[in-house]
Amino acid sequence: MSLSLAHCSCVGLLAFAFQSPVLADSLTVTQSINVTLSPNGKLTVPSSITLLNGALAFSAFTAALPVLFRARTSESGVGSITVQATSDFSPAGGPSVNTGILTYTCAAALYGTACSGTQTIDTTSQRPVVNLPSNACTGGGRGCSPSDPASIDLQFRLENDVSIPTGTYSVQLTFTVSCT
Amino acid sequence: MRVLKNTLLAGALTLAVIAVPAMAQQKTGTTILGVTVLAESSLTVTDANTTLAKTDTLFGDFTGTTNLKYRIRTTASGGSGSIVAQVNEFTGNGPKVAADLSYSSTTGGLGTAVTNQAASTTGANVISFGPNARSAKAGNDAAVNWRLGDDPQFETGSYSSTVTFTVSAT
Repeated sequence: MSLSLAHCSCVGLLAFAFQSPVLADSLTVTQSINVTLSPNGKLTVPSSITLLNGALAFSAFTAALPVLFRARTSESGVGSITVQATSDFSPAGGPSVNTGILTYTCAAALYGTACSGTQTIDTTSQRPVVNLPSNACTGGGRGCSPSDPASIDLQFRLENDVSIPTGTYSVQLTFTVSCT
Repeated sequence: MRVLKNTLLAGALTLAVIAVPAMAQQKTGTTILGVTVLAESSLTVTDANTTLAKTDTLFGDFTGTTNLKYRIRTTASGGSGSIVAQVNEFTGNGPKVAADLSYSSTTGGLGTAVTNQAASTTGANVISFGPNARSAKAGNDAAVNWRLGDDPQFETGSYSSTVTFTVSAT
């Protein structure tokens, strides 16, 4: 009985011995990894902000709006972020963007070149927010933006025209980032 | 076994390459700018001093004009507004505000004027506005035409008073 058991153990050991060379087999695979990083960008803006006016009568309505963005441009490319009114204020009868009543200025950009002067929003043209150079990238500094995402603050101003009837109005703005 | 390992490795790499452009698909973002426009008003008294003078020297009335510029926006439904003048009492044995001083107004094309309104030391309307009243962007010009009766009972002398104009809108 005991011999039989020993025999069985030997068989088991042999089986293990056959497996060992398989586990120790060495395989070298050379895999070429090619990744194409194309110019690209994305941005994030608050879903809504409220314009408020000061204590003085007929002082303008203002609000700050941060634009967060990530962008990558090519060696010979550039990038830009623009803004345009998707449509006019609603309901109708209130302020109209196409009268030049809604403007904004750009704070100094931490990355890229911010818009200069006062920009006027309308429904027909994309207005500049920030321009990005070639080889632009976000995060890490050393040629890229210091923060990821990068950001720029816009200060919006709606003229408090006395001819606007009392009421609550809203307008949608579309920001577009493009990179080449 | 070797074939399987290689396939898995290649599969993982393929996934990584696809993931890079997928993260950068968002090209636009939208935000809603909201604003609530309420009733407001402002007023500038164009003439810091108004001198009342007479053309009829024989107990004729003293007259003079104070010009105002106002901006107003009243609530579209149910709103109202007004410009009110509160006249301080004259000092000395001269004219009295309530008894001797009155005025008429011009509105600059908006609101309702007053005619021969007795001046008041507690305040009386110069112009009143209804709902949805909206002045010009640069403001509307209004005027207060003063009339002070020349009562022989007045002692000779110079008299002055301060008038406070208040504009309000709801």
